Amino acid sequence: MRWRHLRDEFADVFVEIGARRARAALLIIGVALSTGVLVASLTVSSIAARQIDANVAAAASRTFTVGLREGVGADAPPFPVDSDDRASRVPLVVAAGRRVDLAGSDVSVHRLRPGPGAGRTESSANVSAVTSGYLRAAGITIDAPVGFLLDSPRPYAVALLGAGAARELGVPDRGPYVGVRIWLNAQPYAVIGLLSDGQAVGLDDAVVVPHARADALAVVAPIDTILLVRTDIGAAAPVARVIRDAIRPEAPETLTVSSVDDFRELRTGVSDQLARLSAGVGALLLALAMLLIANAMVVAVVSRTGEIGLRRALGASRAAVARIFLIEGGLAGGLGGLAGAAVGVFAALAVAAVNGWGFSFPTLLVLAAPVLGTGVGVLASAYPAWRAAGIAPAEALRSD
Amino acid sequence: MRETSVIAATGLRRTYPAQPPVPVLHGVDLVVRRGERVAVLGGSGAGKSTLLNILGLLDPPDGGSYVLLETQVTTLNHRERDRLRATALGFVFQAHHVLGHRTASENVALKLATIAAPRRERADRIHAALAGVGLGHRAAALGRTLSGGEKQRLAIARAVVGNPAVLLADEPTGNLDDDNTANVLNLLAAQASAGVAVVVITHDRRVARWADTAYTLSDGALEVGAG
Repeated sequence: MRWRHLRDEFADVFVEIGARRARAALLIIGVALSTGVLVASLTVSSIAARQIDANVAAAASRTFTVGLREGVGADAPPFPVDSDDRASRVPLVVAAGRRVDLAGSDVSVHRLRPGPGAGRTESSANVSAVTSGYLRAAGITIDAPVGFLLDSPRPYAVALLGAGAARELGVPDRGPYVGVRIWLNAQPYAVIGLLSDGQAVGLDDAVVVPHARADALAVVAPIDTILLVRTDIGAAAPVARVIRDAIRPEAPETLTVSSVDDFRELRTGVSDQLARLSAGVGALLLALAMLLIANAMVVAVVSRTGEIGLRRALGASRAAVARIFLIEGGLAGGLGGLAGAAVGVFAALAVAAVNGWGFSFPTLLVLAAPVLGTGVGVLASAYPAWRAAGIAPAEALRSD
Repeated sequence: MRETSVIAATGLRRTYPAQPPVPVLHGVDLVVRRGERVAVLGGSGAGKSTLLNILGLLDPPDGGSYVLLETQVTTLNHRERDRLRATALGFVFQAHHVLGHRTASENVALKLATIAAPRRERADRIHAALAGVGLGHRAAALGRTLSGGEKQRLAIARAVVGNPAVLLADEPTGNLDDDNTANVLNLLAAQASAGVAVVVITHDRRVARWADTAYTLSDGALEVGAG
């Protein structure tokens, strides 16, 4: 008996929707747009996060850094002078090298020889001391074959300039640099070339000198030096596990490897934040859709007051009257959710195509969208349905 | 057959809450038997519609006894009243309440859906009800396309398709011309002949003459006669 009632009520609502197509279409479009945006934003955020994940993973899986462990670093000996070679001999290592950043307060950088008449020529460029292995490991290219000067046991007074530092110092962006000098701590350094692609590791605005030259320019603690290691693709994790023994077999515990895990946390964080943002926007839109449905339903209850009175006079119970509006809201929401899933998938597909990202079909979201739409529709119709059920039939019949 | 009473109301009272309260019915006694045609006349504001709403279980009385088909309805809860209204009563209103965006068939089908009539019977019952009021050929017409007389006949078809024991009509001829009034009264008389108790609330003295028993509602109570 109850099932027959429910079937009749569904059929009745279908007749109603068919008879008021424009109103039903507006409701469905409203829900479709909001669920569509929700599906699209969640899908796009998912594939964008995956893309970021892939990009970061690719980078993270190739490089990591080795440093001196905090606490023991001050007393521990610095990296062995042949650390680059020791690290590079580990299978799957492509390049390895050291870097130390010198404190700005220790090193003054001038384009011209400082002194009376030189004017204000001090630069704000940072100074870093590196080995050539570091530049190779960081994927930085030099516009001249001068890398050997960075590794010489004899600390040549030479400098490479990041593109930003060269601009600031007024050094031409093309060689030859014969005779071009800059002044560090009032000592002349011959400019031997420019670095490209230095932004990723913060060397774009830096003056780079040989690692062996660091002590001549500033007071450097051993712990300030890091060793960057680049491996074959995907080999970072296994290399990271053995690199400390390769560099300092007698005391590997004084070294620390920082890399892959940090990146993994970053990737997870980026994915989570994107998902949260998208879900927030989607939830806001769903709330708006809910208000739209609720408003339309309240209007429907008012405009159908006479009909409600008639149905009660025919014998419909309060619950039956309420169900009519709940079913109508649920159907509009469900159909809107279905259409929204299609709209969302196509929108996400378009975004992925435009950006050249990979696309994976959001099966769960597509299945969830109509359910979500139905839930939103039913929830939004609850108040109007309750109002309709509470209408006194005798008064409702007088309303027409 | 006419001796069986389907409506037995005693001392029905109804006062509308207001400042001061408005007493409308105070002590209405009414007995209606199967197949009886009853007309209730009265001036505007006499409480005719209030009485019809109480008889139709649309509004509860404040006091008194109302037995419908041997059931004391004043002790029923909402659901039981809804169920009894669905199965025992049929309504015809002056404003007919035909749904304009639904076909004549769909309007009649509303009643069958409400009483959950077996689906296999529905088409035949709808057809018979529409044919009975001369609207068989208008089954697919939208309610809004029907004339005033057709709408009232459609309302009668909708009221009788559920085979009610009592047909309650509130000014069914109020908006109709003479021909359509005669048509509607004939249809109601046909129902009475079939054993349905017909109670008509009206201003129209022609309806009083048509009825087996006419009452006048005056000072909140019924008096026999057309006043």
